[in-house]
Parts: sequence; C-alpha cells; structure tokens
Amino acid sequence: MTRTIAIAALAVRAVTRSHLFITLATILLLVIFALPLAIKGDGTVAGQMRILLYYTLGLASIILGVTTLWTSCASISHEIDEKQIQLSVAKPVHRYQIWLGKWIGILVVNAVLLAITGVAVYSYVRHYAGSPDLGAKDRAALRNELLIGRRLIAPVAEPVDLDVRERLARLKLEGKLTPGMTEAEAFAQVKKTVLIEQSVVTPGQSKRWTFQMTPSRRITPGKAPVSSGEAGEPAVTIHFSFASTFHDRKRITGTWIVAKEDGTETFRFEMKGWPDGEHAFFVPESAVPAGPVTVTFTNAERSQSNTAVFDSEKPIQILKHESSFELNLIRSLIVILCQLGLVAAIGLTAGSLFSFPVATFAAMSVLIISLAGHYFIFTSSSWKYGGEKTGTVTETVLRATSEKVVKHMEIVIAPAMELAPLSPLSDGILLSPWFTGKAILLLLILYPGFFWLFGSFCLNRRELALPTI
Amino acid sequence: MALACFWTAGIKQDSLLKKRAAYHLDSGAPLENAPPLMAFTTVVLGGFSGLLADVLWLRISYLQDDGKYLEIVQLADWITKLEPRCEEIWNFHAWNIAYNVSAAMPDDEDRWRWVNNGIKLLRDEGMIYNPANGPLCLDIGWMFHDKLGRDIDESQRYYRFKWSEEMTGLFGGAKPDYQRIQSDPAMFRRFRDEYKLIPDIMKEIDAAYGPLDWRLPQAHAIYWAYRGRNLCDKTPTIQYDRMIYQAMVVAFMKGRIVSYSNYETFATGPNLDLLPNVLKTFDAMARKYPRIAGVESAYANFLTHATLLLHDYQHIDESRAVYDLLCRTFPSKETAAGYDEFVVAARANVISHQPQPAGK
Repeated sequence: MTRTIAIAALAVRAVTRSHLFITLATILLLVIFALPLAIKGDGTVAGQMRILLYYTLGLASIILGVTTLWTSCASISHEIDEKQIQLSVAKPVHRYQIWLGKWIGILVVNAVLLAITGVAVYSYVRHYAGSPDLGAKDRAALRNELLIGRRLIAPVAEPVDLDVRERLARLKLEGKLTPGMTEAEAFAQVKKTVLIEQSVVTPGQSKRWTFQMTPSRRITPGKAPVSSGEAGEPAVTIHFSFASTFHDRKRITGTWIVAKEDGTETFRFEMKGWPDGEHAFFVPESAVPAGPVTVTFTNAERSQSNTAVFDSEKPIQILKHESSFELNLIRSLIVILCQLGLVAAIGLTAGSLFSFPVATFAAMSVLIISLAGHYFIFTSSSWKYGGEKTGTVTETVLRATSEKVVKHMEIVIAPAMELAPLSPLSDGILLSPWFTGKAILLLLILYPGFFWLFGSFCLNRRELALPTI
Repeated sequence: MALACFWTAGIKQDSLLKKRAAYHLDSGAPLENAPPLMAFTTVVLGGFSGLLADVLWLRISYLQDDGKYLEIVQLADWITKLEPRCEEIWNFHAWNIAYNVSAAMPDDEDRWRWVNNGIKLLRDEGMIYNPANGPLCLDIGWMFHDKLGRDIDESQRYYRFKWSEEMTGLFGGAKPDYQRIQSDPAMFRRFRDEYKLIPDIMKEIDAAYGPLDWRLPQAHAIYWAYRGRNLCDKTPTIQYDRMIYQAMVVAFMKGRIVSYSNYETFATGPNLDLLPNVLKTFDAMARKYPRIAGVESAYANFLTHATLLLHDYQHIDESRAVYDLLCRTFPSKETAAGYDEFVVAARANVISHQPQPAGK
C-alpha cells in the first residue's frame, strides 16, 4: 500500500508541477462566476437558479472529465514513451501498483478541484439566495423547491397483472393479438393499455393512490418547507400531471383528499387547473404520517369539469423534505468524483495499451460509443412496445449484429448512466445515501476494478524497454 | 506561388462579397449589431456552429418530451445565437416557447411568462441580429394577432390583461401622446429600446388604420405587419396585408377596453370608430389583390358582421350603410332578402357557429 501511495503522491506532484492544477482551478472558478452572466432563465428566480446549478456543475464536470481523460491517457503512455517508467519498474513495485497509484493520484487531484468547485458554487448560491432584491415569493420558492433535498415517494403499484393476463387470454382467444409479437411484448402492451385506462377519471368519478410513508429522517429539523412560504407548519408537496380528453377550454375541477389508512381525512385541497403541464400543492407534514396514506382525487360533475387523464408513466408523487441542500450538494459532488474515477480508469487502461495519441483516441471513442449507444437505446425505447413503427426496415446481418452489440453494451452502460446527480440536485430532489453508495460501488469500485485488472494485465504484458531506432 | 494566390484572392474578395450579397448568399457576411463575444464565437465555430445547434436542439426535444421546460429558453437563446441569420430558427423557437411550452404550464401567470418569453426572443433578440427582416416582423405580429388577440388559448384574456397592464405602464391611456414621447428622451428610449416601438410609425399607423387602442394586441399586430411590409421592397406582401386587415377586423369587434381595473373585471368591446378605416383598408386590399378569393370573402364576412354589430349597438344608419355596401359589392340571395331579414339570418348564422359548452 505504501508503494501505491508513493506512486499516487508522484502522480499528484506531476500534475501540480505541470501547472495543470492551478490552470484547471482558475478555469473552473471562471466558469462558475462568469457563466451566470450568460445564463437566461425562464423568467423566475427559481428557474434561473436551477439552470445555474445544473450548468455550472455540468460544465465543471465536462471540463474535469476531458482533463481527466487526457491526463490519465498521458500518465502511463507518456512515461513509457519517455522511458521514465523504467525508473519505477526497476524498483520493487508491481505494475498493478503503478496503475492503482496513478489512478488514486488523479482521483485526489479531482477531489480537490471538485471541492473548490463545490465551495464556489455553494457560496454563489447562498449569496444569490440571500440577496435583498429577492421577494418573499422567490425566497419561498428557492427554500421550498430548490435548496432542499426532497425524497420522491411513488404510490404503491396497483396489482394489475391478473387483469392483464385475463385480457391477454381473451385477446388470444379472439385472435386479436398483433402477429409476430412475443408473449412479453404482448403482455407489456396490454399492461400499458390497462394502466392508461386506470388513469382516466371522468367527471363525477374518483381515483385513489396509496403511499407507504416512512418516518421523517430529516437531518435539519425545523427547516422543512412551509405551506404558505412564510411561517407555518412544515409541508410536503404532491406533484402530478394530467391531460384532458376534451379541449373545450374548461378547467379540470376537483377535490384532492389526503387520508390515513383508517379513512380519517387529514387534508383537503380544491383544485381548478388547466390540463397538461405539471401541477403541485402543499400538504402539512402532519397530514401524511408514517404508514399507509391514501390520496384521492374526485373529479367534479360534467357541468364544472372535464375528464382528467393522469400520466400513467409519470404517476403522482409525494415529495418529502429529508435533507439539506448542503448534504445534497456534497453527495452530488461525490457521485461526480466517482464518474471521474471511471473516466480516469478508462484513460489509464488505454494508456497502458497504446501510445498517448492512440490511447486518447481509443478512450474518447469508447466513451462516445457508449454514450451514443445508450442514447439510441433510450430514444428507441419509447416506441418499443405499443408505439407506432413507420415504414419497413430490412433486416440485415450487420443490423442484427450491431443491435445485439449495442443491447449487450447497454447492460453494462445503463447502470452507470442512471447515476446522474445534477438533474435531481437542481430540482431539489434528494440524492439518497443509497444512490451515493451505488455510485461509489459501481463507478469507483466495480467498473474501475475491472479496468484495473485489465490495465494491469496489459501493462504487465507490455514491453517497456523497447530499443529506439 | 502561395503569395500570388493570396494576392489574387484578396483582389477578388470585394467583388465576390458584393455578388454574394446581390444573390442573397451572404451567410458569411459579418454580423451587424452582434456583441463581440457572439461575433467571435460565430467566426471561431464556423461550420461547426450548425452541428452544435443540432445537439442543443436534440436536448430541447428531449427536455420537452420529459416535461422539463426551464432550460428551453436558454437553449433556444444559444441555438438562435449560433445561427442568428436564419429567420426560421428564430421563428421555430419563439413559436415553440410561446405556443407549446406555455400550453403545458398549470396557471395563467406561468403561461403568460412563456408567451412573453417567445415574443421577447423574436423582438428583443431576433430583430437585433436581423434588423431589416420583414418575415421576422410578421412572426412578431402573428404572436400578437394570434396568441394574444384571438380566442385560441384558454388564458387569452389574461394575456390581454397583462399586455394592457404593461402598455398602460408605458404610456398611460389608450393611445400614446406622440408629442410627449418625442420631447422626452427617456420615454422615447423606452419605446424604442424596450418595446421596439417607433413613435413615428405608430403615428402613421394611427392615421391610416386608427384610432387604435395601443393597450390591446391588435394594434401591435398591425404595427409589426406594417413594419415588416415596409421592409419587403420586392417580395409579395399579401401576408402582411392580410395580417393588417385581419387584426383590424378583430380590433373593430373587440378593440376597445370597456373595463380595466383588475383581471376579474377586464373586458373589451367593439371599437366602432374604426369602421371608416377598416372599410378603406378592405377597399384598398380588394383593389390590390383583385384575383385573390380570400380577400373578397374576408371583406364580405366583415361587412356581414359589421352590419349585425352596428345594428346591435343601435348604430342603425351606419349598419344600413354597411349593408348597402355589402349589397353593392357582394350581392347574394341573402342580401336580396332585405335589411331586416338579413340581420335576422346573420344572427342565426353567428349563433349556430358559436362553440357549444362541454357535455352538451
């Protein structure tokens, strides 16, 4: 371990000697303090702040990611090219220790740079949020919706599988199934139909969702959002979106009732809203105690309302305050550090295999192909089941093979891509310890571990003292 | 050899640029009015700016599908800045913001913010980089005419109220005091820089098409169509003329603020004083576009509605005069039945075309 740490210290020293550290820190600070000048929000303070958070940290991640890739590719390959590595391998140091030491060194540099970024972003956010120019409404919006960590609680899934199977059997009997569709595809399509049907609330009808509320695990008691935006009882938010089957310029009118498991009503909210878009209302925290809680929407009569179609794919959610913004920011920085760790591992492995230019090209290609593959899988998933396919596609060997390759790659890539911290952070959504732990496990231990083994193996096999002609 | 090539290219540069401009191929011409950072970025990125714009556009589509709208203004701003000369891009993003995104907002206030963002993108940004672009003026006019002026949006009354509120804050009453604006540099600057309203043009419009209530969107639709038409020296102007007469018809029907104190009581009514200028405009349009059926039918429809409206407001003499004009210009079976019968039939026709309440 001492040898690995020594190599890591050397890597850190190499970075600081090349002025890379100072240059990067300066660029990052410039980005954080100059970007707000070029940012244009939607016209609200909360919107402006969301974009600021997302863009500053996003741009900082991109800058650090590119630099990490470049540094890690150069780290081993340059040393091999310039024969400096011979000084290390001539000592009692295993090659896996060289790889690991360099990776730790790059990680330490990134950690320090990310800490500087985090402090700068936090100072900026606090300065902005504390500005005396902000009105009470803007302050409340920042405090209740943005500078906070809210746990997303989804409703308990409705048991529809039995209904789906019955309907599927009926369709089969009637010969109404789409030809060529597999059992799984047919099941998914029918399930989607059933869920959509259950999301429709016609005038005069009701729909109920059940939530399993957990006891409050808030770290900073007393700082929960309040319903009025001023002094009052801490509140949770209920978010939902719906459309209407009619567009005759009538708002959807109805009543939301929050109740305990035994049916005791704890909160009531009269709604009158346009269909489409995201809707939300505050509920006092005492109205949603730990345990099962039901939320019921009763649509008003036809003369006052329209049919409401709730989004079956993005169901109603309860957002409960559980963490401070500070903790959320720290967790998101940890996840970004994990992502940089993975990038560094890819770069180091490429550097162990190839010369610097080839390593950079190869590492960059791996990242681009992975991101593009994930993007195409993600976008095509929307029409996978039940969607419309326009035109006919000729099945070729190349197409079938590339589809298989991309799909298999996605098994590995998807878990890493899901660990994106910036969107939840800028929406005031909690980055849970589980989420952070998963990022550490996958992006800092498991995936880099694989690259470590592979990179060390390649470095071990590589001839480091080839004669120069 | 290289020096000779550079020297020849240098000599030919000026004449090539002139020919490009003559054939409207001057996409490489330096941007006027652009801030240094933007001019620099446009030159440095060169052909890659289109590629970057595509990537940002993909992100907009993804965000919109996912119901995340906050970033769209920023991305649209960057895309339009990457391709600042392309009016279609300005138009698309402004339209997307004002129509699609605004419709996804839960309340009137949010919707108005997005509609206003769409107008601002075209008026405050697009017009700066394309100061002599007629179609862009038409697009701004369309926002006022269609999004604010017509009843296509559930929140249109709120939009009209907010716009009236803004305009009242700018010049007080229904019509600006042009003399005062000219004598007050601060006020003139606010008109010109903040709202891109040129008092001289407003005065011309009032004389030709007024008296307009400048707190309402119809006056602004006419203003932008008029400005755009003046910028189109060779291209066909029917779209501009069409917007002018359509906006005038709406202004005649509901171009006067009846009650203004707050949103709940905000109401508009007919501006019957516009009648002479609406008739004059339609007459001019009918002469200018003698073979275009749309103009004729719009004129005939206006005369029919004006006859009915003037009758209902007890301006019987004017109503009869308009009816006589209708009989002379567009004689038909309906007009041959006589004035009283025509009014009854026209009212029945209007009622039958009114939207029915839900569930009936």
